[in-house]
Amino acid sequence: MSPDFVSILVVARWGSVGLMVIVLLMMTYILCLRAVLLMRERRYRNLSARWTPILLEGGASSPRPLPSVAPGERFLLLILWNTLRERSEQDAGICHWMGRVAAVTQIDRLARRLLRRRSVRKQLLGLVTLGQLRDRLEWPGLCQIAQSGHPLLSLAATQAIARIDPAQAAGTVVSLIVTHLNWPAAKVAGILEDIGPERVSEPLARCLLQAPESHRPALIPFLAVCNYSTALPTVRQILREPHLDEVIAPCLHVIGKFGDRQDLPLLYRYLTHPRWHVRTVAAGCVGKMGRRSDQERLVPLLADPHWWVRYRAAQAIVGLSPQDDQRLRDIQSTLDDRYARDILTQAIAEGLAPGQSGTHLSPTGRMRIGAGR
Amino acid sequence: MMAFFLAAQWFFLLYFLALNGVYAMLIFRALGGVARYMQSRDVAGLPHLLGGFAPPVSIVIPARNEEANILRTLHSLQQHYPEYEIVVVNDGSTDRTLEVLTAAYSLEPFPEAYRARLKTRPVRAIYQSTVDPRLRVIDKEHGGRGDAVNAGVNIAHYPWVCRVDADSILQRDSLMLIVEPLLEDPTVVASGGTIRVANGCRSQDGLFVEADLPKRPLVLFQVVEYLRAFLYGRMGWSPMNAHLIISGAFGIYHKETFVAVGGYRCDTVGEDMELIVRLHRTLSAQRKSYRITFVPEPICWSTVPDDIGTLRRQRIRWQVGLAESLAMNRGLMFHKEGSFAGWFAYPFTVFFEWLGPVVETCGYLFVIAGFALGIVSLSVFITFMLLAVGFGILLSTCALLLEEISFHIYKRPRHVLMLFGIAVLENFGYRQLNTLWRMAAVFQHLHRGVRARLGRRKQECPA
Repeated sequence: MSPDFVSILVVARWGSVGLMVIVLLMMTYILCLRAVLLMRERRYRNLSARWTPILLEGGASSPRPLPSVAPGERFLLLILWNTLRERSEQDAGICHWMGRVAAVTQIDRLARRLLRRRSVRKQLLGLVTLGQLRDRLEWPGLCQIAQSGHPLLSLAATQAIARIDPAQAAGTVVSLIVTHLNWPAAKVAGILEDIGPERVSEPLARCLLQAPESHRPALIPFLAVCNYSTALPTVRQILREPHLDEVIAPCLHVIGKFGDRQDLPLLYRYLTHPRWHVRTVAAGCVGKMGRRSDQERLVPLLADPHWWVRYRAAQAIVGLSPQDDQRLRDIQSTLDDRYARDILTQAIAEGLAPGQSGTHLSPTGRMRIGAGR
Repeated sequence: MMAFFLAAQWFFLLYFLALNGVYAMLIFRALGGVARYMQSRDVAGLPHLLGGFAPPVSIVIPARNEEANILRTLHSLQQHYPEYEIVVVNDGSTDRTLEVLTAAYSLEPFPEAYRARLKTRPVRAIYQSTVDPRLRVIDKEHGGRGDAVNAGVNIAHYPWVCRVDADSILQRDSLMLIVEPLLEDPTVVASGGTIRVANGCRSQDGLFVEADLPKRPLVLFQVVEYLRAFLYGRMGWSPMNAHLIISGAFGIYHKETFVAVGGYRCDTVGEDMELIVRLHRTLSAQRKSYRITFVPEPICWSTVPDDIGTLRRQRIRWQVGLAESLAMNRGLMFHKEGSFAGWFAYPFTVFFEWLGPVVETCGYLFVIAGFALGIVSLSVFITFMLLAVGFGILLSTCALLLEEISFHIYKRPRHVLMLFGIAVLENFGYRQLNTLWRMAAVFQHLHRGVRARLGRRKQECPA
């Protein structure tokens, strides 16, 4: 054996002993983790059994006195409080009572302290709690976190400030959205809805018109949570001015959501747009907002090379002639194209089948704000 | 002779170090990934917050001779999810699958404008349930699972397609959890879910009730294997956008992207892995911004083989599938746009997953032969064995640790002890057996003609 190999062998031997030690240590650690978990679960169960009835008796006329909370239990109480608070969102009485309990048990102070912890998990818990408590004391701190680059923390802080003071938050939240395009659109839309259309409409429209062209496709869908009177003029203005092709479909979605027949001439124009995705959305909107006479404009789309355009056009035609089988059969009999006939047959059958409206379907699958809400 | 042994021992040593180095890196990545996931899951509480924004999903279930399972599976698909449809594809069953479905769901023929965007074996008929408007059934000629899913995708209404195997059990919130990455990141084109072993678990009317460990050691070994594969294997690659497989048992795909790359191939036994490798190859070559993600939460429960013959066939099939997936997409390797998948995951899979069994077996044979010939001393022999077994145990223990800091689905302390015992025991026989099967698959694949012996004959792609 070469001397090199002998030294490697020694290292390997000690390495294998080291491996076994590491494995045993890890196993001990796992068992300790399990023991702590079981203990924590037991403590949480006990605490939950004691506190759940108290926290949920918000509507009771004479609430009982609160039991004392051991310092070690306060964090668990904070978790329970949040769980029940979210569950009781609709009950103002319980929410108000839970706010009082939070003050008496000092979990509000704990939540503020959590914001200064290093653990992201604890910071998140603190942010959610302060939002639920409508706690204004930490407003500047929350705004600072909201501007940070951490995707989770900044979003949770934005949600918190939106809850604490929706009126004051509206402008701030909108400007944060423009600088955080990486936030999940679904969550952003949820926050905007919580703030309310009357508060977000103006700042959002203003921001959108000032935003760089490349940002607009991501921002336009949020207009769906705005007021009719702000959203529609904004998308009309965008479509009037020179624009990127990518903004057309989101704009048409917004138009379709509000359904103002004034926009029908605009939609007719897009039925022949070179982008199949635009034609699809336009056909869907015409089906939703149009009149029976619009069926003629839609019939040529039944022979479109793209299935989605054909399908949406067929749905629109069926939707514009509800309960009028004969008229649909007449249209069908005029069709020379086999694909056009097939797609119309399917749309008619779907129209007859229960639960097959299909107007919510989207060829891209990317989220549509406001869909189905 | 001595020179050969010297060269060989250096080769095996370096191979061993490289392999375990990558595993260590994956474990660290997985630890970070799991910690991040748990943070967001803990407080953000996505399922209930995002319920209103979840995209509509078409669930496609390929079913061949599943008369015993299909109703249970459909029952487990009664999901807490706002909007979805179910497409069952009866892939030329020779049993009563279609009759069972027709009786249970009052199926009626439906005049669907079948849109053959993906070529499949001929479709005989499309049925619509009259009792559950969300359910449609395609009856088609047998073409294999990939072909069946392609047919389902052709009639799927919704933009996201979720593939579920007919013998899987989903939890009530599985769909909500698997779409979570799509809501978080608009560049996601596919997302896979974690599969866990259903054997031994309690389920009722097709719904998962409680996790428990199976009694049979063979199945227990697979429990630990699944923990390793999903918790640090996929979780390790996922943050680098480099994992090369989404299990066929449960995964969701952006339909347009799925169709654009040609759907599943039906000339491979590993169509699920092949699709993901192809997605990486195609999308990176097109310089598209995309992500293929993975949800570490245990959301799909699948029955694993409980006899050695079935297990052997499954492992050979997996290894052949892996080899075919790599061979069909060799352009990904070191492609200039291939990023982590092309520069790291693909070569790793070739050298350590595909060739690994051959090298490992040669390593064992080398040490045993050297020991028998007196070239390798007893101390070297013991050290080698201790290292090989020690690393094996360490990797499994890391998976147990990841499980403990995240989901700890096996509730009782005796479960933890039992899994640790299995993590040790699997290194004495089970792992080596697996290596032998996989090595056999490598040679079978190299010499072709494997599929006939597997009972899953190679399917010709429809013209």
